[in-house]
Amino acid sequence: MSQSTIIRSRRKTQPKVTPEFPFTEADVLQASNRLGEPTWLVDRRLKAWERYQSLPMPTTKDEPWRRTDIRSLPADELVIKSAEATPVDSELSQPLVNGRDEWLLTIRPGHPPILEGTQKLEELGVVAVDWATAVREHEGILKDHLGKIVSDEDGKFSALTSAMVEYGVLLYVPPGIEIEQPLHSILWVPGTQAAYFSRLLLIIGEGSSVTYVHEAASPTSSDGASAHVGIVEIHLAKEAKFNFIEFQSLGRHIWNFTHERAHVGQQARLDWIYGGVGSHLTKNFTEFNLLAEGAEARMSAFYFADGVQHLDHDTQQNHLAPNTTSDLLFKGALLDRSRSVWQGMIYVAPGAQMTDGYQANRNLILNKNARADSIPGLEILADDVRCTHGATVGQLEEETIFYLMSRGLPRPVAERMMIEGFFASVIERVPFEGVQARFQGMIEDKLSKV
Amino acid sequence: MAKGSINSAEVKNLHQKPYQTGDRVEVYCDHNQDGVRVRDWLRGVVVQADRKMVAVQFLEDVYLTNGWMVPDRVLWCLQNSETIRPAARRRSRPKRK
Repeated sequence: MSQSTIIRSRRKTQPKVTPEFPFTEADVLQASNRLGEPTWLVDRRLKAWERYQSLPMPTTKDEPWRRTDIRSLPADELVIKSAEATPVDSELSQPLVNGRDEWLLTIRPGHPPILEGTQKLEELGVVAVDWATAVREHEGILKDHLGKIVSDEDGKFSALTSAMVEYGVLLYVPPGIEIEQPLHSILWVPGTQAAYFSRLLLIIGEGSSVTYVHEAASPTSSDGASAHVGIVEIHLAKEAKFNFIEFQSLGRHIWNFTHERAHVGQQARLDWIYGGVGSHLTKNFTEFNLLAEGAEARMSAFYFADGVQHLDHDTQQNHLAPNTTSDLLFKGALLDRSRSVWQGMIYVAPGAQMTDGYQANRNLILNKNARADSIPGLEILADDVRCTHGATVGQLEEETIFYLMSRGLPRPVAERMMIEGFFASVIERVPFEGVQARFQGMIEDKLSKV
Repeated sequence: MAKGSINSAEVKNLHQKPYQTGDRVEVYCDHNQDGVRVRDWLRGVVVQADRKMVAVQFLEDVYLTNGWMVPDRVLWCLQNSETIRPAARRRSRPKRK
């Protein structure tokens, strides 16, 4: 007697390839027209658009994308439109230090930017403006720096951002300026079936010192997907000091792709802090190039995923000159069926002697269905260097939980304390209490789901 | 057996600033009262505190919720826990002449 075999698959069928975004050259020109761009910027956009078109959508056959499958990104359904009218989360616009922020810029695509506190910066000669103003009034700075750090050649998404972007920030700090209070920008992108593009161009002059906080956020929508594609370019001139703090708490319907890179000059110091808890999927390329002797960069990051979130961080520390130092720490916790990928590389160029490079990735798996992939890497082409790396994936230790419970703490409280402790080493690196509180708030939001 | 109950609003209203070493507090925990194990507010003294945690020493035996006695009679709470509140002040008796 013959029996027919029935195969049932619980997996959703995936499209074979990621669909392309539905934009055309006319969309690129419209974006340019809306900003009233000069010819060279229009040409730049069109060149980026050509580059975008010439590249295929990344697939898991491409090494940087091997662990991040974007076939279900409904790119063909996304359009350029204004962010919804949902007001900015009041917590985001809370001042980061006592009183009010020195400078706060709130960007909502399709709406006029809200800018507070420009006078003091203007007196110092600092340019801190939204992208439209930058195009209108600071063409010279753009000409000197735009696209010099993150090139359109970097990938499909960087080319797309260059072609389509209308929103962002230009910060130019002239040499010798010290700004004590943090500058603060918020990108607020509520909305569905939309593609949002942003660009940050941050130029810190010789010997200047600044702290900059940027938050990308939106509420979660259950009606459909959206995408945020962004570029961050940072240039530190000789002896500049820059604290760059980034929060990412985008809604769970958002696919987030960013290319971020810093050029660190002689004796300059970059302290980059990143916290990522939002988005449906994030693919983030972060890189710093230590260009001249004595350059120093430290990156401290945390991510905390739950549900089916997928957070992929690709980091690169390039030591391109002798006597440079880098220190990178990425810490992540994963709940439910979430997944993280961290792929790090320290590159030491030929002749970059006395390099001191460190990278570490620590993961805390809080559910047996969660998964963390951690891939450190070293490529050393000099012979007098110190480069170390470490990667761990582990769970909460039962013995420690028992010890806390033996002091009367209920198990959930003990677990939460241990997770908070796990992130403490990153939080402690945050320079202002108000910013620390913001990071802690992000962690506590996630912990409420434990 | 739970005797008292936690009124979180009341606890928060009473206590806005972090507990410090030496503070007299009450902790909602298992202990003995008239020979019977109860879960209720019990007086103790804060013997160590930081921005996150408070350690409270009691004079009587205290127990974990699973019944085990805590040998040195010290329990820990979070600073913002609902199971700790400032001790109510005892009324001083009028002096007799």
